Amino acid sequence: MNTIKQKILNQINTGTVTMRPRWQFIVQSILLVIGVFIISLTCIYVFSLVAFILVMTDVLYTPTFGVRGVLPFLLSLPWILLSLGLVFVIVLEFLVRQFSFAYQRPLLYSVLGIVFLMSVGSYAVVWTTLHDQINKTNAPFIGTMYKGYSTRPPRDLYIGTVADITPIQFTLDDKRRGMVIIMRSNHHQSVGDVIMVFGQRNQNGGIIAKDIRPITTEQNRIIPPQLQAPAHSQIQQ
Amino acid sequence: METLTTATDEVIVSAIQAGNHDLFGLIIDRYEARLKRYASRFLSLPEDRDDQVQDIFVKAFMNIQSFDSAKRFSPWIYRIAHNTCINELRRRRYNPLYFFNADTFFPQFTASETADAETLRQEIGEHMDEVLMQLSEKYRAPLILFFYESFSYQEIAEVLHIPISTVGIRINRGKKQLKKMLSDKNYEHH
Repeated sequence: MNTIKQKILNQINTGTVTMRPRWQFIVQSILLVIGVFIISLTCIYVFSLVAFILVMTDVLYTPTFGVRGVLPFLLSLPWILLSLGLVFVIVLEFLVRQFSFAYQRPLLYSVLGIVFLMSVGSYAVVWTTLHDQINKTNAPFIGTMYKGYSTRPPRDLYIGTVADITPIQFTLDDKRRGMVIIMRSNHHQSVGDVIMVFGQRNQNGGIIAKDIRPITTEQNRIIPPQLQAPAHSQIQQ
Repeated sequence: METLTTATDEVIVSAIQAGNHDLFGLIIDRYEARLKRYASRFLSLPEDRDDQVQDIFVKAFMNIQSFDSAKRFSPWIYRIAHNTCINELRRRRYNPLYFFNADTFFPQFTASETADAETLRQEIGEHMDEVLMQLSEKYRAPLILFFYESFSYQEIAEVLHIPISTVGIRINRGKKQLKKMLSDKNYEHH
């Protein structure tokens, strides 16, 4: 009997080396599956919250103004939540790679699979009333967090109903900021139009409009009905 | 025990899982030389190699209940062997963990298993062992498993936990690097 074999069999026979029972491996596998499930749900919750915030704050409309809307869009994103979601995606990817169906295929496939499932899941959750109901509660921490995020207006974007028109300016009833003066002479709005204005505030408090666009039915289709603000419900057909 | 000496590894392991612990000696008999050879491709000193092989068998015994006897046993024990050797290498010297690796991230389009051990031996000749040690671990492990241990791409993927397509890419790249090393050193080809 050679040395290695002798040593190992001695260790086994004396009980120095013992076999881990099968149930431990079963529990380990179950915990892994539960971990994947919990992290997936957490991920979906975080990303759906991000989507909810984008809808509630109208940040989604800023990219419709083209290149000039990109910077305000990026600055208005909830980066802390997005970073948190990214951390969960990395943890999820790490857990999923423990399964042979994932590690036997390129990493890109499992990453794309996770991103796809999280996107579909998040979009589905946004269409439920979950976030809206939480938003309406006054729970100590989570309610404050929701209010903090969902009431923050997007940078340089004003959305509302045209209330009054003069030759050089018009008044917009912005749903978050109240009445704001929009400085623009060559506009084609009428009182009652629901529009979005991209512009910056001057020293007199008026908004120098760089671009004005109506909110169309197509744009509003991506917003769940329960999240559509009064202004959105009067969209131009 | 007599009847089990000719049985497959999986049958023997099933018996060990059922409580016949002495049969683990048969597994050691079958794998000791192979695992020593595998460990020696990563750890050059014989005493280190023996310590690691002992460690591999201890881990294999402790975790044997996690083995699914419907699968092949050899990739399972080589997975333990590979991890043990790599961990030892990392413990001894700077050997960074790669969190991102383009080989495993993107899909690879590679030919099916066409590489032939004998052809490579003829191409590279008697200096193969020497140059293998100079190859990075990333290419060395799949080459050893394919050419010395006669594992399929699927089994190598199981051992190394990498995509099957990546196995083919690494074997082909490893072969090219081996040939380049040989030509740089002006070894004679047979």
